Amino acid sequence: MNPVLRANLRSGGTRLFAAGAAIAVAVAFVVTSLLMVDAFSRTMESQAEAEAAGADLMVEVSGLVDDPQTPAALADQIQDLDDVGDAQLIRSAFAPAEIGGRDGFLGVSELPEHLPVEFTEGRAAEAADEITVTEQFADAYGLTVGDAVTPEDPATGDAGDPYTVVGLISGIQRAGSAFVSPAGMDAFPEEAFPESIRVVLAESLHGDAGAQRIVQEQIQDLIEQHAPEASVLTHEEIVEAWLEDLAGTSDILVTIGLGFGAIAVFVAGLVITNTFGVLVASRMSTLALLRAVGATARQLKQATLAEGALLGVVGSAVGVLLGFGAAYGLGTAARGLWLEDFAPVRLTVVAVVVGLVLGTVVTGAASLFPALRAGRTSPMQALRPADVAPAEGGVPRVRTTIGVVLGVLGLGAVVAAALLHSPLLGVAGAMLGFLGVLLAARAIVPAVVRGLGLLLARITGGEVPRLVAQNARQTPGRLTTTTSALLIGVTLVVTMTVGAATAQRSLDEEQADRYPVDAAVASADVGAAVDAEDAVTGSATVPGEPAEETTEDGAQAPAQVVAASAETVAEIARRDDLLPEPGQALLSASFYEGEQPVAQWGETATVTLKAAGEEPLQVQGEMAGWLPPGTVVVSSAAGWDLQEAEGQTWMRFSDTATVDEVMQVSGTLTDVAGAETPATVEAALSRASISGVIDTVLLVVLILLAASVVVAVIGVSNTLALSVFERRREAALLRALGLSRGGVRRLVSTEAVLMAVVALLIGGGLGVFFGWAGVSSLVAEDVMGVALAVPWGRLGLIAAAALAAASSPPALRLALWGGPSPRRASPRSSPPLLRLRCLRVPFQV
Amino acid sequence: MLRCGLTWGDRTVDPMTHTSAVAVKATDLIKTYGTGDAAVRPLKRLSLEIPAARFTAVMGPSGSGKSTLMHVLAGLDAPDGGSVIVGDVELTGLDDRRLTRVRRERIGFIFQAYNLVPSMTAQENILLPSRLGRASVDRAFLELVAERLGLTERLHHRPFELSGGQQQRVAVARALVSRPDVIFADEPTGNLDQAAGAEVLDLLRAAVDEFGQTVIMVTHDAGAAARADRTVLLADGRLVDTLEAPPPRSWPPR
Ligand SMILES: Nc1ncnc2c1ncn2[C@@H]1O[C@H](COP(=O)(O)OP(=O)(O)OP(=O)(O)O)[C@@H](O)[C@H]1O
Ligand SMILES: [Mg+2]
Repeated sequence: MNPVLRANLRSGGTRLFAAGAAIAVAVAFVVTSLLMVDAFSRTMESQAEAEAAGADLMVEVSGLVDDPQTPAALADQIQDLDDVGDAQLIRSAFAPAEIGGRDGFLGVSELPEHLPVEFTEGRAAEAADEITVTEQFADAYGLTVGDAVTPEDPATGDAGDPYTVVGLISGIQRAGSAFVSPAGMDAFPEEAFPESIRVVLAESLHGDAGAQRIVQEQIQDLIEQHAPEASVLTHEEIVEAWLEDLAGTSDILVTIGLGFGAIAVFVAGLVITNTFGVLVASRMSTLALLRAVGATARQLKQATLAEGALLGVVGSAVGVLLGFGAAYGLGTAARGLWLEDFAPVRLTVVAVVVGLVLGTVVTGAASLFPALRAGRTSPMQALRPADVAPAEGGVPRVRTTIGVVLGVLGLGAVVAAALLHSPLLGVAGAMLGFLGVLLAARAIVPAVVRGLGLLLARITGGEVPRLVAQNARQTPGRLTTTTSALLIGVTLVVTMTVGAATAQRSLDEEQADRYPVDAAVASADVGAAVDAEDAVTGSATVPGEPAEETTEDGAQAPAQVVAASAETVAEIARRDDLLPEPGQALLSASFYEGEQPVAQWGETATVTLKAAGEEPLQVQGEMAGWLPPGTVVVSSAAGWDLQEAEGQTWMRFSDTATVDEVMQVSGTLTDVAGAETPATVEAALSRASISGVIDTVLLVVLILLAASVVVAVIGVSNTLALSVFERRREAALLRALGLSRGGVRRLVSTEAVLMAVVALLIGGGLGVFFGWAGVSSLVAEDVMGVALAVPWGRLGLIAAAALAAASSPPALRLALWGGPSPRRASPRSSPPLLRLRCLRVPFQV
Repeated sequence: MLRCGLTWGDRTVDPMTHTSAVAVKATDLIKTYGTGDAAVRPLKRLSLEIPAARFTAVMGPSGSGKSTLMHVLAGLDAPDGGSVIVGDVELTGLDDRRLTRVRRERIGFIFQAYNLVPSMTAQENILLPSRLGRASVDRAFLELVAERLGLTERLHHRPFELSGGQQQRVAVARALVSRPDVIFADEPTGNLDQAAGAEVLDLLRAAVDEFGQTVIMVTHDAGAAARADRTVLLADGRLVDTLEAPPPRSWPPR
C-alpha cells in the first residue's frame, strides 16, 4: 500500500469515520427507497397475477352500456365455443347503503367462480341475500360475519333487501370490496353494469398460451358481429395491462425516493468535501514534510483520492447493508400493520450496484478538490513554524466566479421551478444554486465575519473581537469551511420548517377562501346543543327572515335571507372579507341546482327577494358553497327587519376537529333541529379530512428529509471538531503573548457566534426562499396562491441550536483541556505544539 | 567498529580518496522575497562549494540567510538566480517531479523540529523515502543504523511516544538509511537540551566518519560548530569567511 495512504488512514481517525457515516446514511436512504419500491411493485404484480389467475381470457365489456343484453348474449356464445370450458359475465353495481349500522357507499360485483381467493372466515356468497366482503372493507365498517348490509334504491331512497355477511376475503382485490352471487346481483336495487367476461378454457387446455390465442381469435370474430367496442385479452395480456397501469404509480414513488435521495447524497457530498478539506488542512505540515523527503505531488494527490475511494467503498457497503436492514424492517412493519400481502423485501442487484457506485463515485468526486489541494502543498510549508504561517491566499477569483455563475443559474432555476410547478427542476436548481453559494462563500464569509468583528470591536472597544477580525483574514479557508457546514444544516432545516409552515398556511387560506364558515344550520335554536360539543369552539346566531326568491318569469323558490354582523364574522368566520356589500349577496349552491337555476353554476346572478311586509330586494348574488340550502346572505344595510328567532346558527370548529367529531355534531344538528332543517357541515368536514392528509404528508416529508439532516449534523460536528487542534496551538501562542484564559475562550466563542450568525443569515434566507419555492413547485397548477409563512418561533429555536452547536464544542474542549497555559508555548517542553522563535538561545560566535 | 566507505548503491565513495571532491556547488545564488520596498534579499549572489564526505557547519547572525541557503541547496525552494549542483545533478530548471526524485534519492534533511510523520512509527518514518521511491530496503543496513543510534527498541513507537532527542535521532537515521549524497541539517539541536544535542552531533559526526556522508549543518552554537570539519560564515546573504577546523579528532571524543 502507498505509505502516504496508510499514514492518512491512520491519522484520519474519527473524522474519516464521520465522513463514512455520512455517505453510509445517504446510500442507505437511496437503497431503502429502491428496495421498497421494488417490493411494492412485486406486491402489486403478485396481486395482478393472483387475480388474473384462473382466467384464460378476459373480455372487456364495460363499454357496452347501451344494450344490456349484448354482454350476456356474447357470454353465451363464447360458452358455446368448442375449447371453452366456462364463460362468466361479471357485473357490478353501486349504491348508498347502511353498512353495519353506518351510512356508506356499497360497490358489489359478482365473485368470479375461478378466482382463487382465500377466506379468513366463512365462505363465498351463494344465496341471493348473502354477501362476501374483503377484510379491509370489514375493518373499515366494523363488520363481522352475520352482520347486515342494506343497500338503498338511489332513486327513491327506499331500503332494499338486506344482505348478510357470510365470509371475509383476505388481501386486496382489484375487482372490488364486496361480492355477491349472480342471484344476489339481480336482487340489488340499482341496475348492474356488465364489466367483463371471464373465460376459462376446457380442462386440458387451461393455461395453454397457444390455445388462449386461438380462442382469442374466435372471440374476436364473435365480437366483430356484436360489439366491436369490446376487447379481448389473454391471461398474459391482462397482467401486462394491469402492470402498465401500475408503472405510473411506481414511477412516482421512484421519483419521490430518488428526489429526496439526491438531496441526501448531495448533502453527503458536501459534508465529505468539507471533511476532506479539514483533513488536508490539518495534515498540511505532514504533507509538506512528505514532499520534503521525496513524495511527489502525484503521490499525495493519489493518496487522498484513494482514501476517498476506499472510504466510499466501505461507507457505501455499510450503507447498502443499512438500507437493506431498514427496508426489511419497513417491509415487515408494512406486512404487520397495513398490507398482509406486502412482498418480502429482497436485496436486488440494481440497489446494490446503484448504492455502491453512487456512494463510491460521490465520495471519490468529493475528495477531488481536497486531493488537488493536497498535491499543491509545497515542501517549504514543513519548514515554517505554525505561528508565522503566511496568510492563506486572497480571494480565489476563479472559484468565486464559478460560484456566482452557478448560484445565479441555480437560484434562477428555482424561481422558474416555482412558477412552472416543476419540483424536479426545483431540486436540481436548488442543489446547483447552493453549490454556487458554497463556492462563493469563500469570498463572502471571511469578509463579513471580519466586518462584524471590527464592528463589535468598535462598539465594545474590546481586543477580542479585533483578534477575531484578524483571524478572519489569516485563516479565511478554515472559517469558510466551518461556516459552510453550519450553512448546510441551517439551510436544510429552515427549508423544511418554512416549507411545512407555508404549505400549511397556503392550504388553510385556500380552505378559508372556499369555506369561510365551518358549519351553518337554518335554525336559531341549536346554540346550546352545539356549544356543548367539544369540537365546536364558537357559535353565533345570525338574524334572518323567511323569503321568496323570484325569477324574472315569476317562478318562486323558498329562501331564507340572513345578514351577519361584523362581530359575528370576526368571531366565527375564517376570513374577514366575507360580508357582501350593499346590493350584493351570497347564494347557497341550491339556487344553482334544480329546474330553474338562477345562473350557470358558480356565475354571478341577479335575484329578487320578496318577503311579507318588506320592500322587494334586488341583489347581485355570488355562489357560496358553504351555506345551507336556500340561504341568501345580504348586507346588514339591506333595510329588512331581520329577527334572530328567524335566523341561522353559524359555528366554528376547533382546528383539530376530526372527521368523526364533525359527523357527531352533524348528528346532533339533525336531532335538535330536525332532519328537514337545512344544515351543512361540509366546510368542517373538508377541513378535518384535509388537515389529516397534510399532517401525514408533512410527516412523510420530514421522515424523508431526516436522512439529509442526520448527514448535515454529522458534517457540522465533524467540521467543528477540526479546528480544536489547530486552535490549541494558536491559543497557546496568544496565551504566551499575554491573553488571559478567559480571553482565549471569549475569542473562540466570539468567532463561533459570528460564524453562526453569518450561517444563519445566509442559510435562513436561502431556506425561506427554498421553502416557498418548494411548496410553489409542488402545487399542481395556479389553482391556489402560495402564502409564505415564516414560523419565527421555530426559526428562533433553530438559531439557538445553531449558535449552541457552533460555540459549544470548541469552547467545551478548550475548557476541558483547562485552557492553554503559557508554559505550553515554551519551545522546549512541547516542540511540536508550538515553536516560538523569539525564545531562542541568543546568537553567539 | 563500523566500516568506512560503505557501498552507496552504485555510487561508491571512499572518504579517504574523495576529500577534495565537491558534493554541492552553488554559484551566484540570488533569492528575493516580496517586491518593491518590501523586498527582502536573503541571498545576494552567494557562491559556495561543499566538499564531499566532510562535516560543514554554517553560522551567521539571525536573518543572514542560512535557512534560505539550506532550502535552496536542498531543492526545497527555487532560487531566483544562479545554479545549484548536487553531486552531478544540476537542480536549476528541473521540473517538480525530477526535483522530488533528487530530494528523495540524493538528499537527506533534518529540521529543527517536526521531522517525523506523526501517524507513522519510527521505522516507517526511517524507511519513508525508499518506500516513496519504491526502492528496495536494505534491512541489514537499517538494523545496523538503528543499533548504532540506539533505536532498536524504539522502532515500532510513534513519534509522540519518543523524546525530542529520540525524535531527532530517528530523523538522523532516516537521513542515513536512504544513503543520500548530502545531509542538510537546519539547527538540528536547537530544540534539544545539552545532552541530547551532543548526542545528535555525535551521530552527525559519525555519519561523516563512519558512513562517509557529507553533512551540512546550520547552527548558532559555537560548540556545535566546533564538531565540524569546516565552518562557513554568512552575513547579510553573502559568504564572509570559511574556517577550517583543526584536524578531525578521533571519534568518539571521550
Ligand atoms: N517566506 C519568506 N517571506 C519573506 N521573507 C522571508 C521568508 N523567509 C525568509 N525571509 C527573510 O529572509 C531573510 C533570511 O531568512 P532566513 O530564515 O534564511 O534567516 P536565517 O539566517 O536562517 O535566520 P535564523 O538564524 O533566525 O534562522 C530574513 O530577513 C527573513 O525575514
Ligand atoms: Mg534559520
